[in-house]
Amino acid sequence: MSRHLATLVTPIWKENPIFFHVLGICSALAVTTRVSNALVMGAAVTCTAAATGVFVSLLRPVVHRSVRLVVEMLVIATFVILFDLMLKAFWYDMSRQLGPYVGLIVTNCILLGRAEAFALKNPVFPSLLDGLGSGLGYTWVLLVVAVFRESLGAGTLLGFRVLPEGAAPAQALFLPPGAFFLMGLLVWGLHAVRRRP
Amino acid sequence: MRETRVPPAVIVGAVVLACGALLLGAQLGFAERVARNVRLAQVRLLVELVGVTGLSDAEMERFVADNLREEKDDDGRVRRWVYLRESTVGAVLYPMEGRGLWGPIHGVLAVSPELDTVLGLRISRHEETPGLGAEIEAAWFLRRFEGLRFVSDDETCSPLELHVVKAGTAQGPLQVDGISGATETIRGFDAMLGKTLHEVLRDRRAGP
Repeated sequence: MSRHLATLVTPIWKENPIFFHVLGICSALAVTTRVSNALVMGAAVTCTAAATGVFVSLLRPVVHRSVRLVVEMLVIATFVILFDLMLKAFWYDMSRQLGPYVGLIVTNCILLGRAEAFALKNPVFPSLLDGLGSGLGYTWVLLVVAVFRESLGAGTLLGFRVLPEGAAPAQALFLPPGAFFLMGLLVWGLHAVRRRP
Repeated sequence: MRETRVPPAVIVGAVVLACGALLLGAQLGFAERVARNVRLAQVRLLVELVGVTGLSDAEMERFVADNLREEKDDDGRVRRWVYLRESTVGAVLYPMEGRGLWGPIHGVLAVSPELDTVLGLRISRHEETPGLGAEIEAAWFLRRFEGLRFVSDDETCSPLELHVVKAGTAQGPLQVDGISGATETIRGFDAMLGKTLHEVLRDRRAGP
């Protein structure tokens, strides 16, 4: 596997930010009630993580170590606000559904974590790939959780009914504790699978 | 990360300026679109509430301009809209404003021309938790209010007892089940609805 491909794939599977680092859990629990919400949230994190990676890597030669966190946070906040604004301008209904969670990506540890651990030490292209990979790693976990929660908790999938009429949805899955248990089970299952020789 | 001769403060200042300029540009560039989205969302909501469907965005704007008479209070804020259907009043719409768990809640309440029955209500803006408090805007919840009569039959306009209560505990025709996991939001919603219904009753006592 080429080096670049490895940079992209590692955060998607082997070092998945949610499963491996257990980062970004707050939003992962909050927006996974609907598959559509999870998709847009995943896109938001992927775009902002990639853009942050590129710009933090670009600024790397001129930024002094003592102010690197300030600069990283400025870059992250700028791209998150930009994405939020674009969502408000071009997909207003989705922006309303996600409420404060797009803005809260600023506090998502995945972004700052990858900027610190990767973009500060690597050239622009690998940093872009790492950002994309981390975002995609976050997105697929969100999607898995959302598919479970929306289909079993609300009886629909992307708005279409999947549970037979009259079947009572498991409302507990729709509530945050439900997401917590589901996420715990997934982390457990994935670690068990990975430990196998 | 290398050490450079440029003072850190200068670098931070430059990044702040660049980021600020980018965001300012985006804000100004998108302002018109965002304002239009907000306005359209409100128009769509009013049209939905009076039971008209299948209109395009432009048709909806024209419909609201032609059929809904806006009444303002002394401060110039919209107090209510009167929907005129073939020159008779079809419904009266009241803007609602209240506080949720995370921020303000805005919506519109539609009542019958006699000002005694809820025809429907919609939430236009809120900042509640997706999947929990945010369900106050969901159709399954709002449907619970349709057709509720909030004036007693003896016409005394007695103090309001229409309340949203803890999920699963509603009793009698004037209590509506809330949403489990959204206690604070529902408390704010209940207060907002109560305040608006008081206004409706005041108008009812004042006569047509």
